[in-house]
Amino acid sequence: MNRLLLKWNVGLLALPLLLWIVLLIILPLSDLFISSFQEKVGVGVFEWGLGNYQAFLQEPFYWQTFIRTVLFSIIATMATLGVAFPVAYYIAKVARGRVKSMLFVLCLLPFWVSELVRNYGWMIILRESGLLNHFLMKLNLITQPIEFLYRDATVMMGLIYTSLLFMVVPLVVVLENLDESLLEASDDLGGGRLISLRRIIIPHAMPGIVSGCIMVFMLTLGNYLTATLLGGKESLWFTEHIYNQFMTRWNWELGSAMGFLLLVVSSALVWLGLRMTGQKLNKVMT
Amino acid sequence: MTFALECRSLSKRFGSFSAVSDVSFTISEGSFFSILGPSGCGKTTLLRMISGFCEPDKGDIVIHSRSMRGILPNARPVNMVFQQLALFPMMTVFENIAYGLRCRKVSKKKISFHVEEVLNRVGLAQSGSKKIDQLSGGQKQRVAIARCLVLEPKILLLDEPLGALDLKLREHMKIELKKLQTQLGTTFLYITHDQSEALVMSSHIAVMKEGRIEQIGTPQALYQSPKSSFVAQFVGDNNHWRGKIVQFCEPYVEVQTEEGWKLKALYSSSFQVGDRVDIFVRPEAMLVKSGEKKPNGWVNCFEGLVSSVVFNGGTRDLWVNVRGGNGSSFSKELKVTLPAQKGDGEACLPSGRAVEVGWDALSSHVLKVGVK
Amino acid sequence: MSQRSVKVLAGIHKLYIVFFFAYLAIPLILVALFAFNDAPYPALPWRGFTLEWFLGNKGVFQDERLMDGLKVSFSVASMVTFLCLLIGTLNAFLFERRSFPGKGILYFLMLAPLVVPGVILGVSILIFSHTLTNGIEGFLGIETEILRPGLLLVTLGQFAFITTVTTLVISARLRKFDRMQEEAAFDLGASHLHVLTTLTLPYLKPALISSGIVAFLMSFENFNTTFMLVGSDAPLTITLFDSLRQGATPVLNAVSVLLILASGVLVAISLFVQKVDYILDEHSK
Repeated sequence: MNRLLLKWNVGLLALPLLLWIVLLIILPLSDLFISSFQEKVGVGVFEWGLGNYQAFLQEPFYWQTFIRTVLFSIIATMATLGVAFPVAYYIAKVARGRVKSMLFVLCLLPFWVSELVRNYGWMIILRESGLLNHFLMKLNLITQPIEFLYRDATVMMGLIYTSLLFMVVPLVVVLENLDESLLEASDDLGGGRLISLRRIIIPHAMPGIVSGCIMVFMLTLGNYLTATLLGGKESLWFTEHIYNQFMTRWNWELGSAMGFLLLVVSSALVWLGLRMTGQKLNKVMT
Repeated sequence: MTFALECRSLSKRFGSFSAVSDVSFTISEGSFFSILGPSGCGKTTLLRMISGFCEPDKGDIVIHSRSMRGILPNARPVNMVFQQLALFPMMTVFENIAYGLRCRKVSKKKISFHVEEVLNRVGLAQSGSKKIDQLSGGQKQRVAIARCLVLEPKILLLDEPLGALDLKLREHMKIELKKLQTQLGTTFLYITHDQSEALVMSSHIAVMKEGRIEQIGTPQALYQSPKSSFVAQFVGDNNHWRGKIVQFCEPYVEVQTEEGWKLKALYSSSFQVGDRVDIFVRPEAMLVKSGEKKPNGWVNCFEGLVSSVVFNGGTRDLWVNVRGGNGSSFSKELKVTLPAQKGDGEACLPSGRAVEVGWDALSSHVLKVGVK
Repeated sequence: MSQRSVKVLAGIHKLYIVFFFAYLAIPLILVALFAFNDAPYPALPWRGFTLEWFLGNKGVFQDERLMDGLKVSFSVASMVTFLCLLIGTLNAFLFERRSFPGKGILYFLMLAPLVVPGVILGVSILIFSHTLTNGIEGFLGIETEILRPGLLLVTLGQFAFITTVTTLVISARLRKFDRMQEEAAFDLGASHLHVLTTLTLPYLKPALISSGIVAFLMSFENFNTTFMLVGSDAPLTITLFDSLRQGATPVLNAVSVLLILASGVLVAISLFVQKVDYILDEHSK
């Protein structure tokens, strides 16, 4: 009797979770997968096949953007790590007391503001009639305004900006736990700064580095706003192709194939990242 | 006669592990009953069955003639003081104590009357509006007890509530608890692994081992005539030998220990030559002598060296190293407790001094091995 | 390493931190600044201070599209927050308090939405809702408008990944709760419901408030998933995006200022709650 009640209890408690996961995650993603293998042969008539994937491979515009997006995401992730690490180290190990918590909060604040607003800020600065050009002209460094938007470097800068939070926070958390006496011991044993960094700090920070990189990579790969607003047509992102297939070309099947490819690459790299560093997803996320 | 609590052959298994097996005992009303045992002996499981947090596999719990089978913890006439106290940190002292009454939907007026009264009883009259984290360890203890007492339970269960306190406060609270219980007259069921707590406070003690009760009795009975080797070793300090009865020599029996000593103990009709026995001697029953003159009249007597002396204020413990009989290479440390009086020559034995130690056969306690 | 080079290194590090925070702050400061410039374009030169873009005839509060977007965003975010907190709390109790076969797999699946890019989540829900609508029409002959792109789908799409966040935050708090307190209350005669409302939920309150704020902000600012599922009623981010593509105006800066202020206030509340809670926790140890 009691045991039966308990089973009911668990079942009832798990019901919303199951509904959520099945109806909003598993079934939609399965539908995406199925739809990617359907080819339109007439109005409302479909056939099974690999046509959508063939179409993707035969159009260099698509697969080149795809490869570019993946490569750019990897570069952006590494760059974000490089930019964020000294900051996280400063907050966790150099700053003290009030300054420390203030810096940490200051670091978080911009990311609570919509990504749209942040990118709008960059647009005001970087466009042809923007502030940067205004100042460069005033200083007589240039005579003609330069369009800083719609360049790869700009997109990269914007992506790093957008991703910083997701790198800084996990890094600060792991570095906080680094026992200072380890660094002192390393100093004491004659290890230089670089040796401490390589032998002690980085191995200790590895869980934070991995979780930061995974989050940043995923968010960058799936980014739409920053890439569209700062990159435009000159620096296309793969998500824009997906959007176009769904919303303007009305070719959902090809869009599904592209979406599925993006999902596969994203999941595979997350898995690879975890595998290479021997960590578990649930540990990285929490 | 009705008892406050009767446990009738209680058993509880967790998988293949038998936590409590066939435990029966009764507690009469108004007594301070302790369950004493090492960690993992099943005492906490027993308490959780009585409080209703876990159901026994077999047996029954009867409180004031009412079976508790199928009755949930929130409907049982018992309340528990938890090991970590489990006071509600977000509430004041008053709210903590009023919690149970509010659950019973008692009127506001009555609640404040009862809470004030119980606060008075535990000596915290002015502390009702304090937050829990403003209290000292001993005060928290009293709030936890008051929180239960206000519900007027038939039995108050206490799960090692002194464990979290520091040594000095613990000594103080032992006496406080005992006084409180005498004054209230509520039946206390106290769980502990600390034999000194149990000896000081209880009117009766049940000693548990591996899910079974070894012995139930008054503290004096347990200390003076333990019924098993386990009880003899667990309750109070003891010097211990194990050996075989080799011959009778009225009024004694002679025991040959594993280390080669020959000891004399009082004869009992249940003994037979060849029986394996444990011999226990309390440290305060040990005799000690130094100097030229050999002590006479000591039935058991050994030569040894004082290896260390521990001064305890009122008493002094000597650790005496004695060598095995017949030139064997064994040696054994014996504990001797002496009253530490001024000018008492024997009490001033320094370490390194050669001494004679012994005891009278009357003051040793002999138990047959493997027999209950 | 010499004393001198250590100092130089520390100096460089400090300078880097200054540059870093400048990099973080400059875009936001400039957006805010140009909301007060008395010029029709958010660009230099500075033409004097004005509140025209907030209060004037062409200001934010007169712009019907933006105000409608704000209302839509607000109602969607409220709904999403409510659902995410409700389901997140249930999930926390399921994962922290129950053991059952397949728990590990279920936990993994619960985390999965965080690993699915927002755009993909959006399009997959779009496809599935389309399949469902067609299926219902095919079998029952009923046309169901409700599963067409629109606010319901936007709400569900956001709910689908924000719930993971609330579940994680609430679970972490629940894990720290001393269960002995619940037993004590139960022992004092409380019913399960009473224990929940007087002890467990009050204990979870800080986590509920801060994860609620996070959920609200995530919903309010979400673009990727929303963009794929939006119908005729557009939330504010979508409206802003459309306006931005048509050209920047100081009204957009004014909206941005309001958004910055609102998020600032919400974050402050969340930090305050967490801090008070942290102090209390430390105190009771």
